[in-house]
Amino acid sequence: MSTAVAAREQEPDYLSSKKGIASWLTSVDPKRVAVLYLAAILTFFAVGSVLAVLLRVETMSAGRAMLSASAYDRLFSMHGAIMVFLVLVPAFPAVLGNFFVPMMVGARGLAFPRLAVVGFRLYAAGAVLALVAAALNGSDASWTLAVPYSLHAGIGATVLAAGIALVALSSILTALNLVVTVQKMRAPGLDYRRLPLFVWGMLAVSLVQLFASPVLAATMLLLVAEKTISLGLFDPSLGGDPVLYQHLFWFGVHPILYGTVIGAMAVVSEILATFTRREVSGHRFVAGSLIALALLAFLGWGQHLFAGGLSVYATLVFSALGLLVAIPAVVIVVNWLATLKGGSIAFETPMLYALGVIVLLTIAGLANLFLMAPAVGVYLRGTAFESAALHYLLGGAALFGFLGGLHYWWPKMFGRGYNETLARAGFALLFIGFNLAFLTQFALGSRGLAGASYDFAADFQALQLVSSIGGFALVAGVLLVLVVLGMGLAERERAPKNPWGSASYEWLAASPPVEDNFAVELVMERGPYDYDLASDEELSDAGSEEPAVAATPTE
Amino acid sequence: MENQTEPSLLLPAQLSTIAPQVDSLYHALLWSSVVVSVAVVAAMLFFAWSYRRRPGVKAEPSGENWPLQVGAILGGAAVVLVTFFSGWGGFITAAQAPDDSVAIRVRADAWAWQFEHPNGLTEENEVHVPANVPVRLVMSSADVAHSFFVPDFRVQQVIEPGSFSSVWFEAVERGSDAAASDTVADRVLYSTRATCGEYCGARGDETAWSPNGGHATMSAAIHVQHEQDYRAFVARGPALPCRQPDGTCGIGGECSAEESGGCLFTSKTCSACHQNQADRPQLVGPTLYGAWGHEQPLSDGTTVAVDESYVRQSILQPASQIAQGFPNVMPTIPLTDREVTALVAYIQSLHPSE
Amino acid sequence: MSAESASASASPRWLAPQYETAAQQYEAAKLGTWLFVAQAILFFGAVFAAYGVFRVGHPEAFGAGSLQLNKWVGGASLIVALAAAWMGALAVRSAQLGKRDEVARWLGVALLLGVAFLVLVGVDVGACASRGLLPGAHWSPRHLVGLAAPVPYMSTFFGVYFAMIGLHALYVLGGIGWLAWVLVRANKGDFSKDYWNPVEMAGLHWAFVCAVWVFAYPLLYLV
Ligand code: HEA
Ligand code: HEA
Ligand code: HEC
Ligand code: CUA
Ligand SMILES: [Cu+2]
Repeated sequence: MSTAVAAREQEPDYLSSKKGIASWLTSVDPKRVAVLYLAAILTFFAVGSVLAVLLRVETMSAGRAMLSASAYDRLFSMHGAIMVFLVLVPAFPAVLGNFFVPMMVGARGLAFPRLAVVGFRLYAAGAVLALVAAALNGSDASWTLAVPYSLHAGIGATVLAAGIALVALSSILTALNLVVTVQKMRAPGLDYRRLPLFVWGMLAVSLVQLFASPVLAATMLLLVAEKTISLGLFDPSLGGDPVLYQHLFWFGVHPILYGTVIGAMAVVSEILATFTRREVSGHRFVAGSLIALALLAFLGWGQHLFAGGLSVYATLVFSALGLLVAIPAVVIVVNWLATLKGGSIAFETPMLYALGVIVLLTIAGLANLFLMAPAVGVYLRGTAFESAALHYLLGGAALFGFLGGLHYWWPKMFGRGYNETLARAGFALLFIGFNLAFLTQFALGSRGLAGASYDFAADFQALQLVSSIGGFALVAGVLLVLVVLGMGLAERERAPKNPWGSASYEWLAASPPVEDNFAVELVMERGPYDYDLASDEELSDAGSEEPAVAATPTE
Repeated sequence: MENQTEPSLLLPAQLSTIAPQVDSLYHALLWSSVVVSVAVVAAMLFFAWSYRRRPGVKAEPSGENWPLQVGAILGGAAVVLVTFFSGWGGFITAAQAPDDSVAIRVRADAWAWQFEHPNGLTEENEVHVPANVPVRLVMSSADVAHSFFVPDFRVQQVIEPGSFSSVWFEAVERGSDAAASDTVADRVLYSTRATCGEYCGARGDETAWSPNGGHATMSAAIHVQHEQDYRAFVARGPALPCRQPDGTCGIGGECSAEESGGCLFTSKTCSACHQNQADRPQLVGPTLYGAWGHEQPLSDGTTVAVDESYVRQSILQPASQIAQGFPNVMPTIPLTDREVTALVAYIQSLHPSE
Repeated sequence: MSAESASASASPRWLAPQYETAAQQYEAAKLGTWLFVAQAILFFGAVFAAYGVFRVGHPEAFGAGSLQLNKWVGGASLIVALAAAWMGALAVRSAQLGKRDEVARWLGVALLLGVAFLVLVGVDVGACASRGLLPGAHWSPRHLVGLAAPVPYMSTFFGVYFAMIGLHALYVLGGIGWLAWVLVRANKGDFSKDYWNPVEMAGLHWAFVCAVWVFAYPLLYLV
């Protein structure tokens, strides 16, 4: 080990290099930015979950329980908006992407570190606007702010729309940064054939966010203008066209929603490789499928207009285009299964989440086929069935994927582990609770329960109760998980550098990493999944220092 | 296909002709989904367990496995094609109403459904429909988007304000009782419910929980009748006003169209602009007394005969032909066909009796 | 896995720590700027889509609407926009040649032309406003050009017009801000024959800002 490297290894890690709140708020280290995002996202996740509990309390039984109808409307609208725009959309690229994409391409940092900070500030401003909207009695215009309802809604909806516009602008900057980082900052030897699947996935998510978010931002700005200075573009009573709003909104949001699931797929692929100790089967095909999903996602927005506003022929075309995503989705799931076959599989918490995502994603994808087949789709649209399908994707596949990623990289991010038994219990509670809460909703929707219903006929009673019990179990699970991870931070013992024995590049760094990620410049001589080429030392879960071998300077 | 007229575990009763088709697609999707997800989960658990980590056993190197990739792509393509084609059959039928449908006009607003039968009979939050006859709904919304959703019929259609949308269904008879030979206008075979499938808000107070107090309770009862009973029900017609014994206008009793028209002429505010008596000053609009049968010069220089079609046109679309010398200020007053007919009859009667 | 020790040789002041080489930094900046331009096309795409939908739906209203706009003021704004883009390009050229004071001069002119552009657009907007040619609920047309009475849906044309002009003006302001920041740095002497990335990127973006008007102008003014 050269002395230069040894000296750098004494460097403090990114968490302790500078102290104080100000050092966090002004830091241009993408890892710190990612941690800020994480803190904000977890906070909003908690808020969104509390709102969900209130919804489940109200719908536990028919008739009025505790909320007024308009309170229920505001709560579910804010629940959806917060969960989607403030939690899930930034979760993958802004937390896991900003932190790990540079590390996984062997770079010292993002291409544009200050842009990441601007991105976070825009997100924070958007989040503050969402809170202001909540303080102004919230918005009851549903999370889609559908016109013309949202035009009649109060000032809360206007402020919320402005907040969403800012969050969308922030996504653009995050995405741009990640694309350039992947394209231009790869360490020598890391060509596209070797690129880790997580990085491929972040590239796909970034493409989606880069080109869909501007449309969402423009649409939200137009909505704000419509509500404040009455432009007359959307309001039918002024000659505007509400269906135009639906087209613009879904052109932007449909791909963005796909992006969240692509993010989860990226994380799951990474976890599977590590816990089976082998490359994901059909690596190139999985990578290609992630990109294909991103591109096809831009063709599917018409799905949201099936029941109104589309001609029969347009429905036909959109149905065909929207269904095409099934091809890459199936390729990915099949290759995941093939990865298990022949692996050397361990079952620590991240792996449980990954397996959970496979189950939830399969159910979700199949459920969406019901919505997509027009003959049953027009019947089920807008019902609890649709709500179940969207929760399987967002609260199921996407959030379980995020949580899996968090458990997987937690030791690297914070240098501390967590209690494995309790973490597994948390997963079990979440998984069982989730399925109780939302499998029931499939049945309720099939039987004709319309969505957004604060009240319902007595024959839906029994299933709604089961669903609510599941919802409460879920929230208990979330609390348990947060406590377990939080307690982990307080542990004295440092996490090992490579607790899961992964061959992937980010585990070569110290836990937590130093400010510019690696103490040395990496030259990639093997792929991130070449377990047979990786040295024992690289794979060992001992010690929190970088192994000497990784630090041996070549020539 | 046989209709299942009682609800099953997962689906409501099948009370329309398309319900069995929708349900067979639903079941096909359901069973294939169950099979696929069980297969996926079983494969996952089986592999995960068989290849659990054992000391000294390394993971096999993973490869490209072309047959697997081709298979997966073909499998995905099969999912696409099967869903696409099976999803369509029923939809085309569902999209096109047969020509001989009974057309009912539906007006939705927050939070009520108003139905108008072809002859102008209107009903609020309930509607009578014939069994075994296709019924086509032509729907509009006065405020926000709503969606007409009848689970038992398996139909749903969003109604965006600013345009019309339509949907059709054919209700079946429930049970096996043959059509009764007599005709009873009030006899209902069975009732089902339409609810609102698109979020549309609610009142802030308790009343949101009472019928039609908000989106969740926005519903209408659908009463299905034998066709001849339905015809009888509708034939009672919209209640047109008549002169009551005390000389005022009101609902009740029977009278000529002309008499109803006279009542409507005041109640629908025509009399605010049109004089209906001789030797009285002209108001904002042309005096209608004695107008029938005359030639009327129009603002575009042509003249028309004041006859049935011109009067009808003038009432339904006031701006289409403007009487010369008059401003184009006559509003389009919402009227049912029967009301227009009554008004026309009344206007025709406005002339000196010979 | 192998590693290289961190290069100890002194790197130029302007080379950001995350980059290995100047070429890498330059290429990253270039790609980033192009991507930014590409996403902005979609941003404006939303309004252009609205234009298309209403245009197809109400062609007469759009004809009648564009008749009301002052083609000369609009044409002048187009020329100013083109000139501004050109000045941006000259600034980049001077930067590449290392002529520092020329950079600042061209940037300054480009910036002023940007402001002039906003003023011209503002003049036209003001003219519309004074005649009640305002969108949506504020529609109260007076003194129509070449029309006896307003055509139905004309107010929608003005809705699109104001949306397009408004979003573009916001965007121009952003572009001006970017130029101004580069101008300040140019005056501080941050750029040299070896390093002019920010000038080039701002110039590239500025060209796009102006190019949007090249598309918007004929659609709005000439139909
Ligand atoms: C992450 C978010 C996400 C994703 C990925 C999707 C994916 C899909 N969505 Fe969804 N959707 C939403 C989020 C999402 N949706 C939300 C939030 C709403 C509600 C909007 C609102 O509130 O109005 C909604 C609503 C919604 C509607 C109703 C629109 C309406 O209200 O009228 C429809 C209708 O077609 C639809 C369709 C689809 C389809 C076909 C897919 C497809 O992409 C699914 C494709 C996937 C597959 C086909 C899976 C393939 C995998 C398998 C089949 C496993 C098989 C394995 C083997 C064979 C081994 N969605
Ligand atoms: C990200 C998206 C997301 C998430 C996570 C959730 C989570 C939940 N949602 Fe949400 N919901 C929406 C998005 C989401 N929802 C949207 C878009 C709508 C439509 C709104 C509208 O129409 O306007 C909606 C509507 C909606 C309704 C419908 C209201 C109605 O139609 O009447 C209900 C009712 O029960 C509900 C309940 C719940 C419950 C009980 C949860 C619980 O599951 C909450 C807890 C969730 C979890 C526990 C999931 C697991 C979490 C993890 C694995 C991650 C943990 C992460 C960390 C600790 C970092 N939701
Ligand atoms: C606000 C005033 C106003 C009201 C209310 C009004 N009208 Fe008119 N109507 C006019 C004016 C002005 C004209 C002439 C211009 C035109 O032809 O549109 C007219 C024209 C007509 C004509 C054509 C007469 C002709 O000689 O050309 C008929 C018939 C008529 N109205 C019937 C009715 C009926 C029936 C009603 C009520 C249901 C009614 N109007 C309500 C103002 C009114
Ligand atoms: Cu009407 Cu919901
Ligand atoms: Cu979608």
